[in-house]
Amino acid sequence: MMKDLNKRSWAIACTLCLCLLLIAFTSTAFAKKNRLSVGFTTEEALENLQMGEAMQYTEMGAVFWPLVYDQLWIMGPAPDYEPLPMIVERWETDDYQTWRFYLVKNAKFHDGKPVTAKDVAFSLWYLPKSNPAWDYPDNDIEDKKTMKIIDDYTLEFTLAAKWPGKYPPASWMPVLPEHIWKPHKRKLGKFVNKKCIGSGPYKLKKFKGGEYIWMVKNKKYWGDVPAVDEVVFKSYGSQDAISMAMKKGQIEFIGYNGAPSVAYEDYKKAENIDVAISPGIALVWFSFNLHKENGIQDKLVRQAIMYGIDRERLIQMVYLGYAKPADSFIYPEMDTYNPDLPKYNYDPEKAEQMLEQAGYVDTDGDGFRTDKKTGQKMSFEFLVPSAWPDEVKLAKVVKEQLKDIGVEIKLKVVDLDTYYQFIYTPTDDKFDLSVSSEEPGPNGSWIWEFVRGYNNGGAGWNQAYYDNPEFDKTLDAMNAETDPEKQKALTFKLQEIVSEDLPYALLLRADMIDPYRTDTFEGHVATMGGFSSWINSWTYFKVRPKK
Amino acid sequence: MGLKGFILRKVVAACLTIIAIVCVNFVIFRMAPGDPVRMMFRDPRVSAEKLEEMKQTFGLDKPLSGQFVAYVKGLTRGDLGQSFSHRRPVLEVIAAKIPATLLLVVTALVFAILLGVALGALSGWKSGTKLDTFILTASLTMYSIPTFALGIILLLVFAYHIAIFPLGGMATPASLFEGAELVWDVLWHLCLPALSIVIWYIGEYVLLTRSAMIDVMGQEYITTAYSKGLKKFRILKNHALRNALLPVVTITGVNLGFAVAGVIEAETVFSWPGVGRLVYDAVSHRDYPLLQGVFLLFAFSVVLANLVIDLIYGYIDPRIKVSG
Repeated sequence: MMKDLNKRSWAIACTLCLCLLLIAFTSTAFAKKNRLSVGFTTEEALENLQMGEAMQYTEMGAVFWPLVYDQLWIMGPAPDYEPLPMIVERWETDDYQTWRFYLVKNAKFHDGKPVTAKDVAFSLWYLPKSNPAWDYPDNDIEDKKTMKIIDDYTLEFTLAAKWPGKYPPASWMPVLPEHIWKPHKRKLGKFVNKKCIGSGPYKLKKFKGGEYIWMVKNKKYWGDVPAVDEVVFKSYGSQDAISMAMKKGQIEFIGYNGAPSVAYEDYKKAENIDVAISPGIALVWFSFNLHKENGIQDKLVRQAIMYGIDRERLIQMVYLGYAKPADSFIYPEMDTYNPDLPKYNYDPEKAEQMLEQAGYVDTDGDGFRTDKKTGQKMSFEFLVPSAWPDEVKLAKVVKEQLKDIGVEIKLKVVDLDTYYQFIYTPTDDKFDLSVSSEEPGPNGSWIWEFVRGYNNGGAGWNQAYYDNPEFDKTLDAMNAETDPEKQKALTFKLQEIVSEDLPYALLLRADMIDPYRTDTFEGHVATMGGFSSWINSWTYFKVRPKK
Repeated sequence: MGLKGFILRKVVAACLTIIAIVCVNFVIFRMAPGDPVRMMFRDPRVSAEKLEEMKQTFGLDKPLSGQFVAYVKGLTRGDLGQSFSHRRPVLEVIAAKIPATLLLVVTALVFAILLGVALGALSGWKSGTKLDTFILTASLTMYSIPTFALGIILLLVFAYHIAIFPLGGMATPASLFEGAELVWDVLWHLCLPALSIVIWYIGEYVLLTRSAMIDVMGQEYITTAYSKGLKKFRILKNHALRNALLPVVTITGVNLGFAVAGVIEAETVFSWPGVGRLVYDAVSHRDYPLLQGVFLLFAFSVVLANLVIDLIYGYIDPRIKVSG
């Protein structure tokens, strides 16, 4: 009996020891730093840390800087997309032109210096003055004299024009430490910015241009400290390499643009990987060049082209079904979306009738109509950048579809920089129509500047060389309207004009396909554009290691 | 013509080539469509003043002749100008990438030459046998696989399925390796991209050495060597291979020259941060100064390598000095 008891005691003691050892090892394992690795392609990688266009427009840059720099406010997560205070407690305005922001009082830069209203004023004034500029319609401050530093934590400024609506001004602007940037204020974009000192929830640890960015959490962050110890943005030579890296557990998800639709099934089958589908943030449309003297100038031709395109087929063939038709610059889930816009459903017979009616007929029996404006074959140059493989495919399908209604399309595939130069100078007549794409985001009122008339300050974004005084008047009224309902009605009207006149023809919105590992982290935040985009840093703030 | 005259003639020819390249280099990129200043701005709402300021910063406000003079003056001072896209001196941008490219290409070339020449010599020596057929078929296959596809295959096999090599890059991202650990890490990352280049170049060297060997093997001095009763290996090494190496030396020179320009496909697939990627980015950003710098370096290294080869030729085959 005693022997049995001794044996039992030994067994219990051994089990306890084992448990203790296990707990010790487990706690050691938990004590190990957790690292969130995110994959980008080398084309998307950031080459330098200067606060220039690379930081704003490369995918890695656009996701990186909001993690190390605070902003006055940020876009809240889906579905409401409310403007949420970031480094401010609140803001107020009486007339939507003069704004007052109240900063939090315990925010510090990564070097320990406090964040004050002076830093905010410095950033708001000098970033738009740099060349190339960090400049958006909602940060157009009228005069430096109108910037008043009320106290260390209160800043007031007056915009050149009213900024009514749901969102306050000064969106997507980093708060730079004045004590570091002041000597470079005339040429902000040139400062090498090796340390990237901000006040955001992450701090830069190491940067290798074109290769990786290594961040660690800012333990002294004034707000909610992230649950992730380290974030690493890694670049890979191709989507194939990204896919292999994810399956091998070397990255958790893709940093921007998600995975191509052809990869969906492959990811879905992989172990410990799931795929989230979110509405896309990018809208794809045609820009018609109304400057060039040919049939495109004729509204009926533009409408006929739209009736001649089978969007459902495009979506199936190019995006394998992972896209939705679009008809407005405003996303359907936003309350300013006008649901009663003309849909231009595929109807080739109607398209042909419209062309006949407008006097575009096939005079020589070659299968193509004659452009009555030029007297030549109805043939249009279709500009598309080689860097957008899906849109190149789309253009090829469109070419075949429009052939059926007697319109010849000649594809003009150019590199991305040449493409941007061509579409933003329609007066050079380098294209007749082009595929275009932008990411307006929920706070997308700036997108209407693409339509503002050339004779009303619209040169710049206006790819179509569109000039409609009625549109401009409505746009100005919408921008100035402080009553939400009236502003909504004006936004409806803007959408109607564009849909009717078709300087731009909205086509579709590709879904965001986000594969992600399910065995390591949880709490990913999906918004339009997926887990990680220029409007969504929430995943990096909220994601946590899986227990 | 004496040795001095021979060298002088070659050096003068090389200098003239470089001067011609400098001129062509300047003109050719300016013929491409698109305004480089406009392309510096992703945001098209740029004002005329800002455009002008940018033009002045990069000296593009001057007429072409003025730009050319400034370019040549800069070259004499070793100044290749400022990169449009990197906003840093071109020399600095290129210098940062050259070590990675040299490491990759020189390592790959050394292995490719050693293996390719050895296998090519063996194949030529054993011409008509099964071994020859095997080596020839394998070489042709390797030579005909596009490096891009080969890179992906290597990644799939060795980095994904067998998982003994990394998926890309030159070192483990976000690591604090130093000293021997860092060297080991870089070598580990070097294996796959170097292998993809080695496989491609081996084919080239095998084919070249083999055909030269077959040619040499039919020469009378080989028959003489046999009749003198020399050992087979000695004939192969001292008589046949040495004479068969002339075309190999030529192609090695050219390859070394190209090495500086990088191996774009391999560097892209394996995200190797070298000059090849830089060329690709510079072309897409219409970065004239960077393109001029890279292409000048590229041309300079090819010309220099050819000059060295010409001089080595003179040493290997004295007949060239006399006839040349």
